[in-house]
Amino acid sequence: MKNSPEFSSPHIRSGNSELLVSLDFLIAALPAIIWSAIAYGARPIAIIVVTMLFAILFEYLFSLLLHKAPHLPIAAVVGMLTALFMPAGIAYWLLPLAALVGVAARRFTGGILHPIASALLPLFFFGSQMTAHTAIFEKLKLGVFSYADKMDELAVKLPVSVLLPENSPNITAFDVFLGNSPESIGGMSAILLTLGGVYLLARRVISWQIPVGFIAGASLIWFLLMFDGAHYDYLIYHLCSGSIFLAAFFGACEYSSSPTVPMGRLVHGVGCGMLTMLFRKLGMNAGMSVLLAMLIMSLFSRILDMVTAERYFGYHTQKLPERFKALLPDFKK
Amino acid sequence: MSNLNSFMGGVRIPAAEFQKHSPKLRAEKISAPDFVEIAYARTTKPTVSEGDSVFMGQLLCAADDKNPIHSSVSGKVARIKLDDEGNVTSIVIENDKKDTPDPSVIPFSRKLTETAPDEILEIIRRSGICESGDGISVARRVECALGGTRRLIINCTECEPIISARHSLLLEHPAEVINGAKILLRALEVRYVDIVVDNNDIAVIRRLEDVIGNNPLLRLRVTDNKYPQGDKRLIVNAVTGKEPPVRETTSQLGYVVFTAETAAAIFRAFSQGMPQIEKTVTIGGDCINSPKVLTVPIGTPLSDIVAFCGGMKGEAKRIICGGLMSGKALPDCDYYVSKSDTAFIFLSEEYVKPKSTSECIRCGSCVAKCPMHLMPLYLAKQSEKGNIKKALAMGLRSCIECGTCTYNCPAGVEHVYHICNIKAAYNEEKAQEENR
Repeated sequence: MKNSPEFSSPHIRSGNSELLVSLDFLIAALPAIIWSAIAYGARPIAIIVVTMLFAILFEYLFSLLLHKAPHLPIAAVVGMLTALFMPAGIAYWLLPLAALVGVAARRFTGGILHPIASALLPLFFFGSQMTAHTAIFEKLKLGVFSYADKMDELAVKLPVSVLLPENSPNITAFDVFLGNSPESIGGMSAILLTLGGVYLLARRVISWQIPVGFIAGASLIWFLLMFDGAHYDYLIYHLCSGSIFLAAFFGACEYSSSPTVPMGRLVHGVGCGMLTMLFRKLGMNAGMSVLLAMLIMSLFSRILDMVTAERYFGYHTQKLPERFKALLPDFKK
Repeated sequence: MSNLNSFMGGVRIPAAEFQKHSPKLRAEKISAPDFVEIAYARTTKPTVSEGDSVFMGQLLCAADDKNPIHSSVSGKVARIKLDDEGNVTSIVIENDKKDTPDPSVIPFSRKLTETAPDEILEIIRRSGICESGDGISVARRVECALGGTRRLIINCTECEPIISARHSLLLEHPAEVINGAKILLRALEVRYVDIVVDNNDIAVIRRLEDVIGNNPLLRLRVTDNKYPQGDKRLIVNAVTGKEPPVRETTSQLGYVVFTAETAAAIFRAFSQGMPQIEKTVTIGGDCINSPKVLTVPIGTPLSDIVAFCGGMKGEAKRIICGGLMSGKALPDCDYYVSKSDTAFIFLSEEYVKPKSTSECIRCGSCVAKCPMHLMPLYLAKQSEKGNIKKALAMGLRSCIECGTCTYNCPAGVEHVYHICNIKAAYNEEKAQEENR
């Protein structure tokens, strides 16, 4: 009786479940997805649905392979977020690959490699797929069954990928903030993403530390780099871009790759924001910089947990080395 | 009356959900059971043998025993149960329903102010009072605390749903609790007592305020109604602001915490002279026809209690001895009430949620809610692996097994189960080392 997990305390549950958490993520992303469908047509919806389905399928296969319980709702969220970071013109044959890499990163590294970032990184090896952004409101050119080859002709440069003011297209920062400019599927409208983010915060699905840290970190690094001739306008421009908000509220908050301690989450957010802006300053593509920043910071999530954890109640002497040892794999066995 | 700062984290369990399965607050007395079976877990032989007639409140073990046990009814010793090694496990007494008290039961007649702490301790020791919940002998704790006590705290909080025996006691007999607190105050020679209540029941606070009046010796402190506020370390932390080190008990530091039931039992031991032979328990849950707060003699079979509460609706999928959050599951109704029991809760399938054996999704809700600032996800992982050293580094000693981590977990990870297992393994290892 005593040694059975079925009969151990507590005997009641709060009713919180993976499914509810995942549905909250879906609901939060819904405004951004709808706006994307208005701007690009049905193709973004098709991309999201296909990626989610493949993610669920791969998660199920992995769980069969490893004889472990499947986390299908969480895998669906990974699939959805992966799709949100993709450009609307991406080729369909890349979606299963992205879903596979993302789910595998969550399964096998436990999120030490950011599932969404690692899902999208391989796509760079396939030409310019990650920059297959198209102009908005051109539904006829960008149908659900458009070919990838055609995309190259349609491709446009993202406003935020152009760093120098003289190269800037005729789009104001306010347009970018509202979502009136080309971007990845989910990252079009900063204001709609903020709406979703506030919903997630209100439902306590994510904590405030990561989004706030992200935006603060991004601002900070830009102020530091301003002395090198960069323009103040560009801070506003970047901080209004949807890709930053998508990463701050959704990508960086992804459970498996973020720290669990509140203080660690703040550091994680600041790190992601700083690295993103640093990479953009170095001329990296807007989408890529966000992903790489998240991937690098996810490597440190476990260490951040150990370093920033509160002192345990009743432990008056903090022993950091011992805690680090708890992280390391057991070599004796 | 002053408000206290509560701890970080913890949970607010929606009490409304369980309201209809909670008992009415007025305590009832059970009709006397035909047989009582009193657990006898000690090395000495009992002083009675089969066939002897015993009185209510008669001593059943050697007089110098650390925590004596008494007959809870008058009647005849029907059987003395032995285990395989020949040790006595329990004594079955047939009730003659006359309730003839033992001649040794005489009320304490002297003034409290003229009584030395040692004498008070002697009376507490003779009455065999146990703390509810952990079952530690109160006399032993008073003995340890004698002379070196800095703060005396009476715990009147109740934060688990359904359980309401303590509220019932505080509403009906607040004077007993307060007088018990005064006796402890005298015994431990402290300047004042902190009486900690939670803020969800205004009626209890009013009753206590009425009884306390302007007495400067008794301070009413109000805490947040949050689980697990009733934990000893967290109460000490809330009252004194100090953080008891994990290797020492709170009493070793001079902070002594007693529950309201203990205080009332001490007062009864003085006013009536009767040792602890009954216990007020909560009978609740959705499987019980009429939930009740019941005063039962020690050793009453659980089946008698169920019958007194109108029987069960359908089949109880789980019988819990203790609270919903921290109680332990009983295999069936074949159980006899002991001094440390607080509640029996009968749950149907509706409340017994299927437990998944899923892994952590790292959402961090356990870290945010842990009252001891631990990281239950890592602790449970190391415990599951059976790695005692690493579990200790993750703060295993601090864990109070309150269950807030598991309660909140969306993935259904059984943190408490794994942590309990590794604690048992750790204690075993420690015992082996001591033997060597």
